[in-house]
Amino acid sequence: MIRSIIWRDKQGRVGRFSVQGHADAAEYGQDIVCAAVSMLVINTVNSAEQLLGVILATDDTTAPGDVKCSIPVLADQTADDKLQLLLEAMVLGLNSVREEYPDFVKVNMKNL
Amino acid sequence: MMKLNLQLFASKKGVGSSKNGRDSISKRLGVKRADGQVVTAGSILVRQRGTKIYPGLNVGMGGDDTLFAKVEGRVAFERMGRDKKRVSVYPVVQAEALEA
Repeated sequence: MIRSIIWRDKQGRVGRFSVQGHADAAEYGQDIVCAAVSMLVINTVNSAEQLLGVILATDDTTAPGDVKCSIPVLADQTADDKLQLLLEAMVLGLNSVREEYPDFVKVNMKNL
Repeated sequence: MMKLNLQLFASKKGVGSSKNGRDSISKRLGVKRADGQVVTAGSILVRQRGTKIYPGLNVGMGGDDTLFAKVEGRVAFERMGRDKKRVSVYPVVQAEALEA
């Protein structure tokens, strides 16, 4: 079971997120649920870095089945809005996977 | 940046599923009566595939190469030629004459 937690601040911004665990939907290499979640998380992290210059995580700061990121508040409001949009897209995707594969993915919302 | 590992959240590396693990049911082949043993007619002496052991005197061979006694008597495993074996059955009287 993949457990993801999204922390939001008072303004509803995503301030932190963690995605941990193993889907165990199939054998390594054939786990489509894991592939979907991996793609969502990795693409969000890489998009933030490539498109906005914000480093949320790297291969050194993560481990298989264990990604935790703190989201900085960007000085430039426009860039911050874009970063939040990226994160909201990830949350939307995670929830979509959770709805389709409830046995393998959990998404919890928490307050910072 | 993170490397695109689509199995980042997959359980530990799945052990490659082995393609082995099958076997047919054993057929209990082999010698069923010992040398010197007295057998009745029709007794199965050897279950085999192919002629590991050849039929000798008073011994018949079935369709699946099974060797069986045609008469009542004592079992005798003998050499045949340089590297072959055969099994014969000597009726008890004849067997005793052979031993004398």
